Amino acid sequence: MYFQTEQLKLRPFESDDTPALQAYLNHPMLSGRRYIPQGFPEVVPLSTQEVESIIKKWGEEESQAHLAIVSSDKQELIGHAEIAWDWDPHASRVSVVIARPYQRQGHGSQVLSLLLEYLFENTPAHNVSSWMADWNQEARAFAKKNSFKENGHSRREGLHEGKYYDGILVDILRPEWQAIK
Amino acid sequence: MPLEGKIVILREEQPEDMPRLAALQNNMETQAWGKSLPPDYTENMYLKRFQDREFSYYPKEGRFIIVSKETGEFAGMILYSGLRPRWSAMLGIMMDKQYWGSGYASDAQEVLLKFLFLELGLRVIRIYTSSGRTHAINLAKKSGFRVSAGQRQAVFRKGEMNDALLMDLLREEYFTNHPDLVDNLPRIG
Repeated sequence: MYFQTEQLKLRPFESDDTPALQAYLNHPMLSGRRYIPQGFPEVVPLSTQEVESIIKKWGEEESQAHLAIVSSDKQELIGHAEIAWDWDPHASRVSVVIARPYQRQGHGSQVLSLLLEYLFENTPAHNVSSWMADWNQEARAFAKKNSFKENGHSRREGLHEGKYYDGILVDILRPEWQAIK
Repeated sequence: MPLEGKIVILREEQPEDMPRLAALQNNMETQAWGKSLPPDYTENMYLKRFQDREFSYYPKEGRFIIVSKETGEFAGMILYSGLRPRWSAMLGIMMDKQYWGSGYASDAQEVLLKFLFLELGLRVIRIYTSSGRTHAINLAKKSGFRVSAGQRQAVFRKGEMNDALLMDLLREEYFTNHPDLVDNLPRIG
């Protein structure tokens, strides 16, 4: 079943998700890796109003879907996920963010698996990609573990702890996904 | 005052440019986009986009017509977009095919890079293209850009699969390639 496993489900964001979303986005460990719309701060603490605007913007984006990740047992918001096909559904994009207390429990891999299944079984996606900061070793390891390949750096994407960092491009092709499915 | 190079001038768009811009877009060879677009763009579509542009002291893009210094003729257009102030922008160019190989595109690119690095104080300029567009890749390399990332088989056009390429040029690389220019912007990072 799409968008659901035994442990979690993906659903649209609702306005009453604001407090839980604000709480985990402002966790220091998510600083610089929030995966929120451009123009919203990636590091500075987010206000309630800003988080409301993020949910509103996510709901309005064309050629994108932003989903809340909710635990099946307690119905708690544990993260957010994105699928996007901005300029061409042949080349789609994904991102998965898991709130700090729920990391390292396999939730991210489950969500990514659902997103890839949806994209490759319901859309013409041939390449699915994602970007992450080069300092974000957890995300790089997560991508590698899920069979994404690193295919270069977008140099000088920003500043982190006083140094320039690069954006890392990772992608997976439909035949590669089919081979490991 | 328009931006001036050795053989081209970059000036603002004017209503009379719209037929030429539509023609560039409708030529499958000159339309510079990540996927093929139908050759049905009209002068009125371009005119509407031109008229809808609003005044701002914080523009996120700059669009310029490339004209020959010698003849004043329209040769193409060049733009920067996605501006992150004092940080980065993307560069794009469309040239009338009769000016391919004339040096106009290269000169226009250099004029715009000088503006972006010296006037806007950017740290990196990016170009998105694909592995099938050898003209665009070579033009970018001429100004020092290098391919930094490639999304595999992400572009399908002309019946072929190509990689979507990201090329970039750092501020320091630009000034190394232009020893006649001095970089007075304090370094960060």
